[in-house]
Amino acid sequence: MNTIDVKAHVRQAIDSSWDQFQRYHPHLANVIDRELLAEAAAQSLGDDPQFQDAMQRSSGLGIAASTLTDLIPQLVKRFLERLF
Amino acid sequence: MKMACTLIPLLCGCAPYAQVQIDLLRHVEQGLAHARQSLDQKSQIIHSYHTLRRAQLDDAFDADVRARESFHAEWIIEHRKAYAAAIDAIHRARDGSERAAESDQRNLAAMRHAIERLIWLQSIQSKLLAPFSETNR
Repeated sequence: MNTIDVKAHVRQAIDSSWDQFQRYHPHLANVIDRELLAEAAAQSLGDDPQFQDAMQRSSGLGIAASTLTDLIPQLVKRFLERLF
Repeated sequence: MKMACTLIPLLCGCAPYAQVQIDLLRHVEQGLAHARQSLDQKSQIIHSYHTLRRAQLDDAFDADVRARESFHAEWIIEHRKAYAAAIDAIHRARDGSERAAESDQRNLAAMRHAIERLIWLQSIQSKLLAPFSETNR
């Protein structure tokens, strides 16, 4: 799993909750650069000890790529919940 | 003797050649100065852009708050978190731009230094070869 994939998952997670966010915070939603936000969130996620730990453990256990792909959105979602 | 006959005409032609190289290097030096000015202007524009984005965020934060008739704790927390995340994203982008600009300036300074050294070396060569050129006239 490389940085580009993580960023794509972060962008996807932001996009999926954007409509709801826009409804309650219209002015803020209008000026927030989602691309920039996804970039920053992906960087923060990469630095997050929990995320790093999960990635290392999954790699150590030899988890298949498909399982890891399922795991990433969950980690991203949990991380964004702390962020938003 | 044969060697001298071969070398002297060659050396006589080298001094003007060295001067041409110095002139060319001076042009490159001027080009680098223009590139530095251009990069400075771009850095200024990027700085202004980030400042503007920050001001827009502040205004949008206030506008959403003013537009609300009632406030719930969850809304306030979500609003604050989103605002903080957006500011963090702007800061990260600004830091990235600043690092790139500093790297550009360092590269330009290294190029300028290398050209100065080359001009210096060429000027020595030019001075050493000048007597041969003068005797040729």
